Amino acid sequence: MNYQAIRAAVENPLLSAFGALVPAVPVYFDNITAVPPNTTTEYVRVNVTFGLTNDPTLTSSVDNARGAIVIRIFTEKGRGPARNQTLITTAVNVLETLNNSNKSTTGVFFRVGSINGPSFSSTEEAPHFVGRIDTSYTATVLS
Amino acid sequence: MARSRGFFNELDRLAENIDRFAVAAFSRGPARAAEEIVVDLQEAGPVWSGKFANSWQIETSDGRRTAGTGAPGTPRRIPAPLLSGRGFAFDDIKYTISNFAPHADVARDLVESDYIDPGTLPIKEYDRGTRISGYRGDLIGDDEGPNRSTAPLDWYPTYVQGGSIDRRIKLELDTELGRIRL
Repeated sequence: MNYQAIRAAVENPLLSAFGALVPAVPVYFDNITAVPPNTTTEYVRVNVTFGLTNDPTLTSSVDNARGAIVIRIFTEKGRGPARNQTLITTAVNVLETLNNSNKSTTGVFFRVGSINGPSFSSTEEAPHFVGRIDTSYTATVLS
Repeated sequence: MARSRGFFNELDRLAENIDRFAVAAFSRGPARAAEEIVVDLQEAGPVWSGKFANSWQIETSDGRRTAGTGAPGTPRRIPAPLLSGRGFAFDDIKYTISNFAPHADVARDLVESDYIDPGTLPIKEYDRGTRISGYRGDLIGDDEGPNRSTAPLDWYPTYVQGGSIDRRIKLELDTELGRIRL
């Protein structure tokens, strides 16, 4: 099982999409410690988690994984939801694009499920307004 | 002729018994699955005082409900109510599992919150780190820092979306089907 390939299949398109925005929005993935705490800088957090691996199916030699993708968008608090929702739209577009990819003989075949959210929250202490979406995924390593 | 009628009556009774056993087996399967899912959620989720872990509830489609006490302490198993015949036959969604703790959304990392140290040690083992957002489990640091978490960030979507629920239901149905004796 190539977990890194699965992770890259979702992380790379998100990194590219947010990097292409003007101005570019930084994206932080699991175990990246460079998130700017207690600043109003906007940023994106992406957590890719793994649930079941290689659930038995009718075919042998499978390399499947299932899990969840959670994307949190942090934007400045007190400025309304518009900017946050714009960035969420970017994330949703990437997830939908993943579902449009064709299955080839190599690489990772990736499909996401229905997208929950967005839900929004903010707290008194934290400087950010946060939008959150999550979805399930199934991934098959083909090579 | 009388023997023949008696024979058919026996067949009818046997058919009824088969139906009854089959329905009972299928009905117990989802109930067991719901109970085990709650156990899974209690094990996967945060347990500091135990209030959240003891606040899960299981509700049938026709409104029967069993729930935890919501009290602090070690997580307790919650027996699921059995489905009625109508609920079993007609309702697509057999059971709804939810959590009635006031801070349930915070515990599931769905919303941010502000945190205070309750001054007590958690029931469950914890990781230590520095919380970098308002999300409960959003800690960084190699087991060093001022904050503690008794479940990893996004434990809830990982369980719900990652296939563990599907597997639990299949396992419990397989178990109950294996118990049918006629």
